[in-house]
Amino acid sequence: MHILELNNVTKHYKTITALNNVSFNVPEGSVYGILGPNGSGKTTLLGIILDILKASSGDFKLLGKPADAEIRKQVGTLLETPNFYHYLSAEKNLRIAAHIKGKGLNEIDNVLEKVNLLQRKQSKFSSYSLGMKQRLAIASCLLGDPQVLIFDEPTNGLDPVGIAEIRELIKRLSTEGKTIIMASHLLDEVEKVCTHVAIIKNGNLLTAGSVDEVLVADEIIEVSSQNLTELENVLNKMGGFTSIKKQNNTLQLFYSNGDADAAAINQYCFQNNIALNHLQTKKKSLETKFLELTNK
Amino acid sequence: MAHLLKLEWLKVKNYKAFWIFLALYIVALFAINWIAFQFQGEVKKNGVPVTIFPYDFPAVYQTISWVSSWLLYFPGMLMILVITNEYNYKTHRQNIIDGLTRQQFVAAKILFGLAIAVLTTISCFLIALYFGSTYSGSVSFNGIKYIGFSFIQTLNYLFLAMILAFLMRRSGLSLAIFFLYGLVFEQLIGGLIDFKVLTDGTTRFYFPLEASDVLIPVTFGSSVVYKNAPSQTVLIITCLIYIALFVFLSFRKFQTDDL
Repeated sequence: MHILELNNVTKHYKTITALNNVSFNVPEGSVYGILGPNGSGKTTLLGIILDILKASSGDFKLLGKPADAEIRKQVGTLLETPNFYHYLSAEKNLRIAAHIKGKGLNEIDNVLEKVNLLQRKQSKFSSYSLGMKQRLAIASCLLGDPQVLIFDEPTNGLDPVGIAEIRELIKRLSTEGKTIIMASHLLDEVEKVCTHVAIIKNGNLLTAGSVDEVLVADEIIEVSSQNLTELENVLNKMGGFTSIKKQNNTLQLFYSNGDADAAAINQYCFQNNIALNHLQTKKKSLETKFLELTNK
Repeated sequence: MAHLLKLEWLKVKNYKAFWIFLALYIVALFAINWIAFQFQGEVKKNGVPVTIFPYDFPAVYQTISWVSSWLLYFPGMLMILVITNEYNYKTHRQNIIDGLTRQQFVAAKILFGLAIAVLTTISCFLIALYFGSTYSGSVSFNGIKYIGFSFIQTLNYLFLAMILAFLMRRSGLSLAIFFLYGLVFEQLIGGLIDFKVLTDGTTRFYFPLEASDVLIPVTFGSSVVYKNAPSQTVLIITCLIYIALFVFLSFRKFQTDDL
């Protein structure tokens, strides 16, 4: 079953199109990253799923049904910023969330413990630091032990230790079999915790699928020899790469994931009477890949 | 319904500013009536042959309702405060995200308004009983319909405040419009229509706040102030239509908005 199915979801604000025919499915048990630069439409997309925003067209299903309040009670959500009553303590705020969800009232201490806020549960929300607010919001998501969690920029405002903790928490939740949908502009975060990813830019879905497929780390083999033209002919005969590019005095061979084999190239060239004077394998960083995808 | 009332209770239970505000309002209700009572006492003592504020039954119910109505802007402020707070803290979003429907969110605020109106009305009733029995040495429920009118009037004020808060989302703007409309612009627009445009002198009685104000006419000289005013039945129907309209518009606004 798909936890979330999006069908051509479109959202227009007055003059801009925030989302343009976005469709993808989130499989059960995945950690699904929605990746995109700031203002790409990630929060708008999650807002629509949660009935905070109204889609201009298109539809979606959450847990196999058109989403309603009952479905939302089964999903733990942190959207954009931690939203709590400033004049109430952490505990009182979670009480309200539990009251609305109709569950989790006896888990308040437990979830506060998970995010290291138990000692501060009587403190007013307004006295919390940004990182503590964020952690409280994550605690609130965990009330009622939901099977699906939606996190919008979950590590926003956290210090490095906090970031590591939250990533651990997400991984742990994932191993418990929960489905996690997470929006982020941090590629590194998505790469570290997600199994699947959808990349959005300017409201358009660029690509979606498993992280291994989408964020393939391309390999590049750089070769050169005395006679580049001859080398190029030989390499073309050999094949196996996705493209070839001449740069300065070298040839760059591009391979998709796992196909590059420097030894085979060396051997093939030698058998064809070409001695390589340069052979180097390089990995294209995910960063470059991401920029490439979003700059198209 | 109990679920939604409990939700609002959880929101205000530990909200100190709210309780201070509410307590001051209730104290002020007693105080303003006490001032009027003393004033009437002075009038009588000095042998002035008119009764401005009658405190004997049944008129005391009208007196108390009329005097108290001057303070209705304060529960209105409270209404605006609790709604715009939600927008401020973005908790209106969080409530929906956590699993409230949009209708339930508005319904909870309506229940909150009803609770405040009931509290105001009960206070007025007790104040009327106190001054009425002190003045005449007996108790009567004659004329108690004015306490009922007071309830309608309170709802009218509160739900106007509510729709303004839902429309404006910000406390400052909502409060400014609420006060300026109620204290100045309703009279101004009504007056202009009545005396410059249509000149039949009755249109202003059908304005939202005025309709409920006229329902509880001033205890002296009302035949001059409210000349040509419509009958009580017409006024009650007018008020109920406005109350229904404010409620309907609040639902509609919150239901269709991007939150």
